[in-house]
Amino acid sequence: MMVEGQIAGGFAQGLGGALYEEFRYDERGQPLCTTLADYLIPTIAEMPPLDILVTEDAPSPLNPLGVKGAGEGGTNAVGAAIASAVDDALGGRGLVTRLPITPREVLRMLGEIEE
Amino acid sequence: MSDDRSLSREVTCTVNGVKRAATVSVRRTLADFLRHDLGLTGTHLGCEHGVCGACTVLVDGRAVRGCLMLAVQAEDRAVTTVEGLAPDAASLHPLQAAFARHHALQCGFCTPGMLTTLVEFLAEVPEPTPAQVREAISGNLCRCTGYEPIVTATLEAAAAMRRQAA
Amino acid sequence: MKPPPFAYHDPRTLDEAIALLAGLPNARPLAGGQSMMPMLNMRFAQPDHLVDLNRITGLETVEVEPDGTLAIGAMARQRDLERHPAVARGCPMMVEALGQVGHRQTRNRGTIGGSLCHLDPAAELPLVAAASDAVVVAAGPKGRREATFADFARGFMTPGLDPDEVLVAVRLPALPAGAGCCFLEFARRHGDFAIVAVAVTLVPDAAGRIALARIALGGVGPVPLRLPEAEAALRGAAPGAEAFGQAAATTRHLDPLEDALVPAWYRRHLAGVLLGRALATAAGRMGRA
Repeated sequence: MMVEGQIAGGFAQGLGGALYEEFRYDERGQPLCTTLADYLIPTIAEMPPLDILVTEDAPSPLNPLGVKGAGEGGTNAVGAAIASAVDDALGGRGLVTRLPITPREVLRMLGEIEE
Repeated sequence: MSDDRSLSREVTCTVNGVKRAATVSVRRTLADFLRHDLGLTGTHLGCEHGVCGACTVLVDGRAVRGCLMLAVQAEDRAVTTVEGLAPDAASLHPLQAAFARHHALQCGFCTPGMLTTLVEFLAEVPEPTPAQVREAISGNLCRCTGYEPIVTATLEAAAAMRRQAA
Repeated sequence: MKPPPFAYHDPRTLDEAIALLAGLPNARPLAGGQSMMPMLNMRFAQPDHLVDLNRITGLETVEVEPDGTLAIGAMARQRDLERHPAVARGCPMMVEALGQVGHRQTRNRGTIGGSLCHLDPAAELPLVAAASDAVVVAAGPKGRREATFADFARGFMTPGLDPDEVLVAVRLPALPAGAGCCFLEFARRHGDFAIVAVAVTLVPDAAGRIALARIALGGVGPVPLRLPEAEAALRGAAPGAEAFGQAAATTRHLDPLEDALVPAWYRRHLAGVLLGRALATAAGRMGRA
């Protein structure tokens, strides 16, 4: 349960990085996202349903409790998975080159608007 | 501290069922009053601009942002913080017990705000759907759990509370 | 992130509050505090005196007058309005909008009067007021006066209120029979300020065509923007994709606000898309004239 919890929480953080969270600066280098109103951490409303699969329980042989870190695995792949999915949906042309992918960015990649 | 009642005041209110009083600067927020003047540090400050929800407490039964109220506004009001949820020293509130069972907290920073919000919510909606629970906590940020264990825990606690009430 | 020093006053009556605002230098009223407190905490606002309106009773009522006018006290909490049967009947658009206003915890304290006076360009309640032809009631040393919301919304976060006046009520005319309304907004996360929002009311005639349209946009101008061109285009039209497409196309002439985070062209794009969707939804909710 703890490992699943870590993965779920990691997914949420990865989702933030993939679709919402961005530190923006103006042309003079002043930070623009200085509050939690501007820096968009996902709320529960942004979370999709999750299926979490832990395929193997293999305690570490290297410490008395057999514990392993599980905190990063959930986060690492999310950005890449979402970026790949969006890119695939857009025809697999390698259009997605940065995160977060915002709705405005998707409109631009669809060619529907000029930036 | 000044004698001028426009600059500092004695605030008297009921907190977790107990009458409490302290003299504070009028610009003291409710959250800081609870934490520093009353020693109830369960209420957490995540942003101090009303977005994260970690400071949520109940005032006269309503879930409010402690960082967006002044302590002086709590005069004569009944405040409930996370410290006041357990029925006694030996037991946990059903929400707290369910949270522990379902790993609905990791670092625990958002948890007091989640609990107070859910106490208000379950009083209004004792038999919620998962979607209603999600809406209820959409104003509370959590960085650790991914939220779903909180929903699971809440549904279980709601069922337990309905049984208790029956 | 703590408020700067100020002197605090909590009058028990409206007259006391007005006298304090009239007599004290650099005094600001405090209603629900959900906009004022963040400004104080971040020190964007630095009043010398804060006049707390929350101890004054009688400013939070909701009444339906004999002619169907919905009269809402300025200190009515957003959460109470969200669940009030008279608001659901008299201004369903407000209930739809309130679901998007912040979160339940902010709506428990936030007031309708506070939101209208704060007049954030992207806020939902000012938009509903604009789209509903609302009238606001202010009280000051010289007594009460009424103003249309259009006159009240003077400019960017600048309500038409003297420093010694307090907003006491907002009055919404009765909805015509069969009216269909829709409130839609686009925000990055649930509960965030809208990037663009649209509020639409369509009133049918006996033949089911559109007798009257009220269309207001939020987030594109310094104050909520009515669209007289689109409204005129819809008058007498049969509800449907052609009429709505034409109305939505008028948004191409908009010259929206630009800021460091959202460019003008994007707001213009969103306005057109949201307006088309809102018109279709409102039309589907129209009843009989």
